[in-house]
Amino acid sequence: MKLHNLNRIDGLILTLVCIFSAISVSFAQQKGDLIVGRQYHDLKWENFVRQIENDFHIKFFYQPDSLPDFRIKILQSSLTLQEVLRQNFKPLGFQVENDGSGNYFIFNGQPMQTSFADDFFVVRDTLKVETVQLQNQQDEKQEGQYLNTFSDYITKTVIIGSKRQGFNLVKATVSGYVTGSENGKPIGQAMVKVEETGNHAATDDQGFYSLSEKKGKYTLVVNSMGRFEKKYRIELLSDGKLDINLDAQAFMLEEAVITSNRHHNVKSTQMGVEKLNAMIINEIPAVMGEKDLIKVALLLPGIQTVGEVSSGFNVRGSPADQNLFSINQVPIYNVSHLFGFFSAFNTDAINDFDVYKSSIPAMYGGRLSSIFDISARQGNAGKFSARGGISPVTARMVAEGPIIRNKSSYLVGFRSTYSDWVLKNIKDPDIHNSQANFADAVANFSFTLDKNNQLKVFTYGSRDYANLAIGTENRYSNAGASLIWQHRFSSKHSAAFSLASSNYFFEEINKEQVSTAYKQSFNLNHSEFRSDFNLALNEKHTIKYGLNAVLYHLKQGDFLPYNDESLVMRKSFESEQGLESGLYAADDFMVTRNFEISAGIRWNMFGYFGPKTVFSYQEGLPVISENISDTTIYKNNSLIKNYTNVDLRLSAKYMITEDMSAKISYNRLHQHLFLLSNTITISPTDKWKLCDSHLKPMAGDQFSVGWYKNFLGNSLEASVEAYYKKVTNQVDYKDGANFRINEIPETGIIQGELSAWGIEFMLKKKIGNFNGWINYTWSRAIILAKNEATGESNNFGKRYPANHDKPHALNLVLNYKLTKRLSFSGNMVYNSGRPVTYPTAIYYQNGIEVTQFSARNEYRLPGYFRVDLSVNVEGNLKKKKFAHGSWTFSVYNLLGRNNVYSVYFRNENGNITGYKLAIFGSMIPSVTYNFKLGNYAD
Amino acid sequence: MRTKIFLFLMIPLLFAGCEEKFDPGVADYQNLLVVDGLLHNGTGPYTVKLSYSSPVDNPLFIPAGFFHVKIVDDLGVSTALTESEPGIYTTADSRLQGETGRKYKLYLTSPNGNKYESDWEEIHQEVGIDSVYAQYEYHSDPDLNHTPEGYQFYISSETAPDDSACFYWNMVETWEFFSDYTLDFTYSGYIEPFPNPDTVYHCWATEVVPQIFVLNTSNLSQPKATNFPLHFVSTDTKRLTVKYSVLIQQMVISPAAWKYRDQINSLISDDNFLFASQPFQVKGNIQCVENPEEQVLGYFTAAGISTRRVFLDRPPGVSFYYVKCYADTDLRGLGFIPHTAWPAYLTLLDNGRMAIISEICVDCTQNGGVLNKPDFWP
Repeated sequence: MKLHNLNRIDGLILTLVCIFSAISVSFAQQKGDLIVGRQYHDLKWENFVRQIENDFHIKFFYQPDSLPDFRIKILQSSLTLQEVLRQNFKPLGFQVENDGSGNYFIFNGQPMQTSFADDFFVVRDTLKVETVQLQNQQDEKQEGQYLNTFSDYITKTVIIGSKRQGFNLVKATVSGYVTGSENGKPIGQAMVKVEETGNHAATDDQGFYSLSEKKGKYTLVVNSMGRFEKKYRIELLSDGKLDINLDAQAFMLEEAVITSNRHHNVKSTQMGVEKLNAMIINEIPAVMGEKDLIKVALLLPGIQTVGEVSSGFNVRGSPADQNLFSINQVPIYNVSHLFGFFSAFNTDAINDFDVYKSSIPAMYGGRLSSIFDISARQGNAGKFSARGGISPVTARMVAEGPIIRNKSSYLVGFRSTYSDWVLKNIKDPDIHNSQANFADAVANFSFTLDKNNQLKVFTYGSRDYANLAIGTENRYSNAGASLIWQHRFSSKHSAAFSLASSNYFFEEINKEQVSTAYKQSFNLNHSEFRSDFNLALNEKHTIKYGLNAVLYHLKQGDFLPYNDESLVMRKSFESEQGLESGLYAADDFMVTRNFEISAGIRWNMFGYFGPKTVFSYQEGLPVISENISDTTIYKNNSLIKNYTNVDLRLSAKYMITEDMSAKISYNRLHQHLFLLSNTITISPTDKWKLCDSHLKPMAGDQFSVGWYKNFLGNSLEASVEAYYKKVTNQVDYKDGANFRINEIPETGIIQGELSAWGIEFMLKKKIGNFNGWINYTWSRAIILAKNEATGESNNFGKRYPANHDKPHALNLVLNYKLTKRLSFSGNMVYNSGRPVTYPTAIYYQNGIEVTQFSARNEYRLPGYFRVDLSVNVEGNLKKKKFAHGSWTFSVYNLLGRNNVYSVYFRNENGNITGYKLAIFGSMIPSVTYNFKLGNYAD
Repeated sequence: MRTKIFLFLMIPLLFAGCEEKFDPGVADYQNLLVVDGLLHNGTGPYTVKLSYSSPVDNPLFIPAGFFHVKIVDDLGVSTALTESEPGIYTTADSRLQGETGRKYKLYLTSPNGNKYESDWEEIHQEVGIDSVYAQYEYHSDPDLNHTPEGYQFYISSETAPDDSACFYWNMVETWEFFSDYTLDFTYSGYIEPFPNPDTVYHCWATEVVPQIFVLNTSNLSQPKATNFPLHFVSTDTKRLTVKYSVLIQQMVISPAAWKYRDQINSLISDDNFLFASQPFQVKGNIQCVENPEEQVLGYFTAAGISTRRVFLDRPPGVSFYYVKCYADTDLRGLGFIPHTAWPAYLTLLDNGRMAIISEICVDCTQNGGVLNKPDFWP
């Protein structure tokens, strides 16, 4: 039965009612019972509609012109909405129907035209769109409409606790879990609010909340992004539990939900936090259709990269090794595939990620610049499900399901290239004879032991192999696992204990020249124990405390001749061992309703252990091998050097109005390991190095201020953040240092100072069919590499811009959903070119041509500008189907602009000619096919 | 199927970066004064070359003339140098003899009165050459479609008297060679026999090996060079066709002078552009007195020197890869040579046929050679 066959509007409505009610039988009972209080009495009809729609998440459908002006009369207090409407409309000759899902239809029962009049439905922004879709997709709805919307309002008063238990108490605490009604999974960052007092709490990762109030009757409002708000009438008598299910808004899956919590930006004390979930990652166009969370992160303010194929990125002016990446607490030391073209995470297996740019929580330590906390998706504990996709580069697959239904679940994911097969088909001999492939896998198991205990087991692995015909062979891999036990002592006190281990390995073989062919390898092992406690002391204080310890073991590998023909001298590198431990405590203190302080302290201890040969250098002279004065040999596990230092975290928030706040924060952090890299971008053959008796821990101070404002019911977020950061003992590499063959790394390093400052403007629209963000950042990062004590310096002791110093950065991300099946996404990126050191002159020494370079990073590459576009086409929306597919067509660098990655110079017939290299110098179209078991919304 | 075609089209893009000529348009560093001076404890005269730096796209030796140049030692004895050729200043014979342990400083005054000076540089005790040997080796070069072969030179020094020494080797190579063909006839409208076909057939060429070889022994167990690889003479040129000789100057220089050369070397040897090392400015030991901000390039080096000359005969039974000139036996080509290009050159091939040949193929002086046998040649 098609829409245009209908000739009576009430016929249509009845059809709709049938469809709706067929699907939502279970809800029908509650909807019919919706009770409206007398506070709505005597409102003008328009105002009544607005008020009721707003308060109860329901919708009215009527023809405005046909209704006279009148006021709603509510004469009794316990009438249902249906009864109220009937009483009011009957005298006017109108009928009222509802579909049991919150849609109320008011019509006069007269025969009507065969199609909708344009103004048939009340034209309100959101409604209009849905009306259009209703028409478009009528035929599918015949099959079974499941994308219905509904609201929930629980009218009965819930009694919390008992009078007897609360007899002597003034206050009581209500606590419980917020879970999704469709799968029982916890909902983190949901807001639970007492409407009358404004007191509120956010749920933690396990969906747990806790609120204290004076005994009495309240309205509890619970909401979370992408879910329908629920209200409860509660009567708080003593401490008690209230578990809450929230229903998903049906459109949630395709919405670009940028943050998991509506109020976060303004109300949290945290600053410089960015949260992105898998959906936004999947919407943004990607190179070769390969979804990439790092590339998405680069669209956020304050996050930049040196070039398109650099594996690391730079947060607020810091080098890439000052970021900590962890996925379910497993730290990952190389986050890229294929030398940085792609990132090492399968986005199908990722739930969301948080980036902390300034207010790094006290529980994290060890990195100065940012924490990149990635959460893998937890398997569906309800039923088996699978999804996957094929892009030009990889094929990927994720399967998940219950181990014990609704108690424990698994998720396994695998991604692999098939590029080798493709390379073989290319005529160019250099490509034909090359091999390049990569793969990664995750497995995530979650066990709910009981209400208070949850166990998670997670493993991650990635590997890369490239054998390029030019004579280089690289392989590298990450492998890690974590075991997390979450335990709740009481409604106020919870803890997580975890063990994590991570291993990073690489091997490089270079056989371009027989005589200089070499191989080298590197291995880093990270073993960590941590325990984190969360204590909701009272409504004013939430205390977090805990400790962690990391044991590092680094095999620096040897630099070896590749074979007997090679003339390369063997260089031996000693292994390193270090133990980094931290003890922390932090308090979120709500001073007044509008003023909140968050303070933390972290005590770090780093020990550097033998076996090791340690050199001493003559006082006041450059740290070079010529000035070695003494040699000490340390035995296995003997302490060589110990550093203790104290980290501070301090931030304060003041709510200026309900949707506007100002924040200020100060952070002090320390870092005990770094990357040895003298290349401009991070190379896959850069080794990590621990601080030792010569190389001191780096210390970073960051001061930031910010202003936050939400508009239009929190759908539009605006923020401005400014920061100043200073890193002391910043590691910089001496001119010409070569760590491949330098057996004494301290002779290649100068510890200097990094200053970075900037201001970030962000405007974000988080919901609606049209969403996205725009941000502009102005920032600088300047390095001074000078050691007064030894008289050593880079760039003759003058400050110079860091390689990633790109003062202007503008990012625009737009997503537009035309229909449920067709959406568009586009982004635009502009940033200043990176600083570069140019050859500036040629001169002669003893007949040999010598190139003179400019001062370090004195010049700048041309600016970078790129536009990408993607179109996503979903398969049909039938409810009953075995699998659902979608196609993504994307174009990276739509304008085909030759963005300069680097400039280099070649000697051609005695003349030095400059060349610019663009990595993605043309438009790169791609198509990706994604599929999953079940229907669109599953 | 469609997907496969897509994949096929996409992958080459991954590796096909896009390369274009690019002129950064940097003009700030041209016309900087360049100093290239060497004073040692061997016999003089000593030379200081002054020039100006040139743009990167047009490298040239731009002489800096009309400077006042003098070398002063730590006893205050001053010796002036005179400009023998444009930009080349030499000490007069026997006026100055570098002495071990003595410190020297170079003073320059430009024609417009700017004063420049070097740091003090000490002549270190020379270290003798223990042995030099050449080994026939096969190297690899991915840019060539044959395997380059030839003599690789190695040097071992005696042990330095100090705890450590910084070595710098400079090589001047001389080789005897013949033109590809003899000049038998010339053509200037008509063919006439060339009176003495041997006059421009046999030459000796001399060049500085355009590489910098340095070694700092500070992290070696002994302050000496052991089988240190020097230059490689391949059969890609005529160097080894008759007889080859190299004069090796083994110099002991200061750590600062070593560092200067080592840094230049590290900048030359880097060609990985995807993960390129950070290039940097190399600073020499010359400053402008009035304006320390002014950049002066180059180095005034003082060295303790030992020299050795070695000879090599043509290696027996090996392949040479240099390209021999093309001899055109179709003499009708002579008619197309314009009058202005006369005389044209002709040679008699082994099979007795006459062929047209270009000047460079018959006149060895056109290939950097001189006709007089050097004094040291056996």
